[in-house]
Amino acid sequence: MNWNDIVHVIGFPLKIRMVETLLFRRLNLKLFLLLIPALLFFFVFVIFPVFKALHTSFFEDDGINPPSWVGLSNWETVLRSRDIYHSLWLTVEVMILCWVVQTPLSLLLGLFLSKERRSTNILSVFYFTPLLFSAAVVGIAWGYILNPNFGLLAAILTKVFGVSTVPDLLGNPRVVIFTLVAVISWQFIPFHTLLYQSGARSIPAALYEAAELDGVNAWTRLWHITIPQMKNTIITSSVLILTGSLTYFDLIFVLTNGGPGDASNVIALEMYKTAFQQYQFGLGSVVAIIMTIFGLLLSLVLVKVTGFSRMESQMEGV
Amino acid sequence: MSKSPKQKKKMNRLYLLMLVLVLATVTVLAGCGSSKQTSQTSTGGSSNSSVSSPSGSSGDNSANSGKTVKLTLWSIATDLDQQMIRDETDKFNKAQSAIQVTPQFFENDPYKDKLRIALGSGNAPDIFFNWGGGPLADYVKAGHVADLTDLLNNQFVDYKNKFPDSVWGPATVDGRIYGIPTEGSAVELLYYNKALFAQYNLNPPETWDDLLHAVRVLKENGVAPIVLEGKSQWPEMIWVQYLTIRIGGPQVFEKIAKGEPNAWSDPAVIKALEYVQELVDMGAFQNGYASMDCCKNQAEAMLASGKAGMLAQGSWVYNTILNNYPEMIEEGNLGFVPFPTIDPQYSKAVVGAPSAYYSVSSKTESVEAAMTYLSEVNYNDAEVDILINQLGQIPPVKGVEDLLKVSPNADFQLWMYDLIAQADTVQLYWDQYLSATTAKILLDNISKLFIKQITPQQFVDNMNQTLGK
Repeated sequence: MNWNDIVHVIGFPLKIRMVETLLFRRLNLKLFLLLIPALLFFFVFVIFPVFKALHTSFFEDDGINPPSWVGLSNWETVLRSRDIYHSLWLTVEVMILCWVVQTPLSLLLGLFLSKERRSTNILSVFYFTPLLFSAAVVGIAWGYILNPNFGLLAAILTKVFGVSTVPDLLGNPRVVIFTLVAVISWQFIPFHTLLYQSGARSIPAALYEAAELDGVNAWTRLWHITIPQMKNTIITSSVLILTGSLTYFDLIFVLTNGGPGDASNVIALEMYKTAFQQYQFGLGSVVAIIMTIFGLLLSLVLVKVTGFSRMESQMEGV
Repeated sequence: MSKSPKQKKKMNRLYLLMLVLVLATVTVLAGCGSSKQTSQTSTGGSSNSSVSSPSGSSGDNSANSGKTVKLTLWSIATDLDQQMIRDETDKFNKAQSAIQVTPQFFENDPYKDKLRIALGSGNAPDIFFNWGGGPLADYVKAGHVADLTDLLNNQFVDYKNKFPDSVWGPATVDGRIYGIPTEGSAVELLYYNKALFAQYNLNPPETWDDLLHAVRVLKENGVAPIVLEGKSQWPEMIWVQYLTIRIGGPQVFEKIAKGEPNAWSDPAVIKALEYVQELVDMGAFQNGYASMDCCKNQAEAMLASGKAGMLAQGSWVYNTILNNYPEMIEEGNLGFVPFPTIDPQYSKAVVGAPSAYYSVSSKTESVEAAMTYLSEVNYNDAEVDILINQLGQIPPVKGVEDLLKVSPNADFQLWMYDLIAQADTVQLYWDQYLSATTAKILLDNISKLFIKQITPQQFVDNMNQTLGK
C-alpha cells in the first residue's frame, strides 16, 4: 500500500471507474480494512449475543452452577406456558398505542414548531427537555408524581379539585398499560417532533403557494400536501416507534416491574424476570430469541409495506 | 490485471468471508479469555474480590507475612445500623493494617439479585449479608461459600460460644456451618396505630375477628385499614404465610418444603388465600397498594401519620419508625401484637429468623482474615450496645435478656424476646426457605392473587408444578 493508492481510495468519485479498473483488487481490501471497526462492533454486540443466546437456550443455567444440556425442553416449557403469549400481546398493545398516541401529537407539534415564530425557539427548548433524561430518571420521577398516596398528582387532585379517591394509575391492572404509554409518549414525543419539524421545513413552499391559488382550506392542505410530502419522515418515525417499543424495558421496569401481577409484563421484562429474577438463563434465552425473531419479522414487514428500500423521493415532479 | 465481473464478485466474497472468520475467531477468543482474567487480576471496581498488595506501611509486624489483606463486605443496613457498621469497621481498620475491610451498602430488593449474579460470575465480595435458608443452600451447593465449621470449632471457638445453639440452623447445610449470625432476631408481626384504635373504640387486633371489625370501622371512617407494600411482593407473602399457619399450622408448609406432591393443595392454603381475597374485596388495603414499594418509609409514614391503621411487617420496621418517626413511639402510639389468631392451637407459631448471616465467599483471599474481622467487629460490645439501645434490636447472643431489661426500647424488645422464646415453631420466611427460583414463582403468584388476577385454585395449581424441582 503506497500513498498513490490511498489518494485514489479516498477521493475523486468521478474517477472511481478508472480506479476500479486499475486498482480493483487493492481498493476492495482497503475498503474492508476501513470497515473493520464498525463490523467488529456490530459482530460483538449484535451477532455474537444472538448466537450465544441461542446456544444458552438449550441449557439449564441458574447462574451459580455450570450449565447442563437439556436440548429442546426449555423451548417446550416456554411455548407451552401462557406467559409468553401474554407478554407478546402486551408488547403489541404497547406498540400500537405508542404509535397512535405519539404520531399525531408529534406531527402536529412538529408542524407548529416548524413555522418561524418568536415563541418557537423558547418553546422548542422546553418541549425538548424530556428527551434529555434517562429512562430510569423519568421512571422514578413519574413514579412519585403518580403515587396515589404521596404523589404530586394525588396532592393536586385532593387539595385543588377535592377528589376523594385518587385513581391508582400504576396499580390498576386495567389502566397500567395506558399510564405507561402516556409516560413513554411524554419522553419520546420531543424526539419525533424534531423529526417532523425538519420534515415539515423541507416541503417546498411552491406547493403551498399553488394550493393558495386554488383556494384550499387548512384541512385539505394538511391532508393532501403536508402529510404526503412527509411520507418518508412518517415512515422513519413510525419504524422507530414500533421497533423502540418492541424492546422497551427501562421505564416499565422502574415504574411497575411488570406489575401489578403481570399486567405490564412486556416481552423484554418477561425475558429479564425469567433470567435475572427466577435465575433461569436457559428459559430467559428462549424468550430472548423469540423477541429477536419477532423484531426481525417486524422489520421485514415494515420494509416491505412502507417501500422503505425503494427509496422514492417525494420531490419527484416538483 | 482487469478481471471479469464474475471473478471480481468472487474476490469480494472471498475477502468478506475471510473478514467474517477473523472477526468470529477474535470475538470467541475474547469471550473465552475475559472471565478468567477478571478473577485473576481484579483491580479497582466496586464488585471485585480481594486484592493483595504489598504492605504499604513500613515497619509493621502483621501476621500475614507483610501483605495487607483487603476484603469487601456487602450489607443492606440502613440509617444508624449502616453508620454503626461503618464506624466499627473504621476502628478495626485503624487499629491494625494486616486486614483492611471496605463495607458497601445496597437496597434490600435489588441486593438479592445483585448478590446472586456476583456469586455466579466470580465477582463475589469476600463477606456478604444473607438470610440463610434456601438461597444460601443454593450457593453452598454450587461451591461459592466457605465452610466455617472448623474455624469456628477451633480458632474462633470463643466467638462461637457467644451464641446459643439454635442460631446456627438456617446457616447449616449438611451439618456444616456456612454463616455467622448478624443483625437482630426478627419476627413478623402486626403493628397498629393505638391512637386510631382508641379513637374508634377498637380492640387491639389480636384475633382475626378483631381485625375484620377494625377493617370495617376504619374503612367507614375514611382511614386505610391496612397499609400494604404490594409492589415488593414479599410483604404480601407475610399475610399468606401467617394465615396458612394460623389456619392449618406450620406443618402445612413443612410438607411443601419437603416437596411432597400436591402439598400446596392443603385446604389450609386455599382457605388462607380466600381470606386474603376477602380482605381485598372489603377494601382493607390502602388505595394503590399494588404499586407501593417497600422499604422507602412510605408505609411507615402512613401508619405514623394516622392515614393507615395497621401494618404487617417485620420487627426491623421498629428501627425505621424509631429513626424516622420517633414521636410515634415516644407518645406510646405504636401498638404491636402477634399476627391475629384464628385456630387457638396454632397461635404460638411465629414467622421469623434467629438472625441474618454473614457468609464468606469460597474465593476469598483469606477465610481466616474474614473470620478475624467478623469475630472482632460483628457483635462486639459496642455493636451489641447500639443494636439494643439505639436500634431496638435483639442480637442473638447469650445473656441478652439482662441487657434488654435496661434498654430504652425494653417494652418492644422484651415483648419480642418472650414471643420468640415461647414460640412452639419459628418458621423462616417462605421466600428465604425455598430455592430462589421457586421463591420468585411463589411471589409472582401471590402478587397476582392480591389483585385477583388468579383464583386460589389456580394459585395452588401453579405452585404444585414447582414441587420436586
